[in-house]
Amino acid sequence: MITTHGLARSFHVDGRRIDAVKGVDIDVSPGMGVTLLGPNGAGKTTSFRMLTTLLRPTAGTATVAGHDLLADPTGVRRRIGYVAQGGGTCGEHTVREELETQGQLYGLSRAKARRRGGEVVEQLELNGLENRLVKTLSGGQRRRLDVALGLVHSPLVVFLDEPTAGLDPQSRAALWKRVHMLRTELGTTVFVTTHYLEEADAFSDQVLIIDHGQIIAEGTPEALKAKVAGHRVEITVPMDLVQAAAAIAERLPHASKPSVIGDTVRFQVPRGDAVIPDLIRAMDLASIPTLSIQVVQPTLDDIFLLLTGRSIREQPNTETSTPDRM
Amino acid sequence: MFRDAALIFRGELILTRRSWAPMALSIAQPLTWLVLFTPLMVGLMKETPGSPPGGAWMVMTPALTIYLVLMNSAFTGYKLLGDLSNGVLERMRVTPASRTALLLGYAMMTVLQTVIQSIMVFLLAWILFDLPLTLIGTLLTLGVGALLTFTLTACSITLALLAKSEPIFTAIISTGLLPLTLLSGILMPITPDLAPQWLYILSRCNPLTWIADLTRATFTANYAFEPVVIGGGILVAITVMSLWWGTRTFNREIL
Repeated sequence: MITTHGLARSFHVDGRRIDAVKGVDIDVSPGMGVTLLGPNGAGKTTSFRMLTTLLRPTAGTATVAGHDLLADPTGVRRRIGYVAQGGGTCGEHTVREELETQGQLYGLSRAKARRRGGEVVEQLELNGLENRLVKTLSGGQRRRLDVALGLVHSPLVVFLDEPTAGLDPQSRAALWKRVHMLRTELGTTVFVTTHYLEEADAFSDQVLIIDHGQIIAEGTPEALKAKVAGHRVEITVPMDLVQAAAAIAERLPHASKPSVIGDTVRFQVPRGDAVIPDLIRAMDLASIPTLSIQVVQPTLDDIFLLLTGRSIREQPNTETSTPDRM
Repeated sequence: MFRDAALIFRGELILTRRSWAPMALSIAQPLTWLVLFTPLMVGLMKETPGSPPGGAWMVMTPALTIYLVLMNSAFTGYKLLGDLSNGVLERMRVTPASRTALLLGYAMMTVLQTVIQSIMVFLLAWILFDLPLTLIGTLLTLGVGALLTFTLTACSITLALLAKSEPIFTAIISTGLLPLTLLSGILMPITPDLAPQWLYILSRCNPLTWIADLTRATFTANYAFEPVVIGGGILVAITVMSLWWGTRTFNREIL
């Protein structure tokens, strides 16, 4: 559904060259939910703006929804929906007017645009708000309208740039529920950017981790977490048996060298849940009583930390210094 | 393309209907010019030898419509800057709507406004000052005004897109508008007898001067070769150029 080869974009700001995106290869199959994850200023929005025909790449090629990005931008536009980070609604129009105009701009007849408007209102739970002026909507309602506008023409792919940024937890959960339904019920390919790790983890079939304009890791959330960080297993035993326990842990397949802190042995292993039975059996055979055992799930942030030495959460907000918003 | 433009125009119309006070005030403005300024010029021109032919009122009234065209068009860019900052323009640019249609849609509202204002000026001048109007002359003048509005609005919108910020856009418009207005001779006719030669030559380099002459010719139904052919040619040329420039800018990425 989306294929890119070496897609890159640089800007010139005050005579300096800024490589916002340094050549990314992306391959997204139809119907997938894909997340582009990275700190602010990593190149997420710039990548999206290239894939949605708003920004011309300085290098590379891309095919989106079966059409070449550079040769046939109109063909791409017809088949994609794009919801920008800041939305794109006019406060003085009503919800119904915005949806109808949007549908008609995509070539739907007035009747069809009206019908589709009704359907997306239903899908995004905007019922009863059709005749309200956009400026009177709450933040969550307005964001759902943004998403509805991106869907009114039944696109094959929808790009959501930070769909939940700035929303309260309930609104975030409600929006994700709707986005999830989109995929399961309509088979729409959904490509989102976010810097909320839990959301990326819960939503995605595939996660692309981007930093400094490059994709530094990709895969399913589970594979990424297992491959890059693995599980951390912590086992607590009586103090005098801790070295014996460490020796057992070291013999486990694929386990990292254990570290001993007090009465606790810690080690990393790709699949913590899978080694527990073996571990317990070995401990039993050696007559070491196990006081507690814990498998700590890694987060996507652990991966980012491992790959870059920085945490996604601790990034200063540098987005405004990159001119990737118009 | 025209369908897309009509859709955007419809949106603008809804907005205007929803808050009509600013529009009503701007439509009332030309009356102020007509009543408080034009009589003074008419009086002056009667005293001055070498004034353009056709009677003072017949010279000043079409000029007033050109002035309206200039004022209305120049500031349309602000509307676009608003849509640029709230993301509406970006949303439209992701749709398959033709880029020329986006430009046309934005410009149509200003054209409508100018046409209404011009009709009011003509009617009032006709009722109050007993102008010898001809229907064909009036229609032709309105047509020229509409086309010029479209052209200059396209330029204003394009400049707004390039400027991207309100202070820069304001600086460009206010710097450019005044010399363009003064040199066109629409407020104070620039004739070889009245003006020093360099000023006269300078004013002849301004395309608006020729278009002002064209409206005077159409308004009085006096189709002399020079204003009609040269003025008309210049009008068509700048319309095509502005459309090309605007579409190109809309097409290009806007950072």
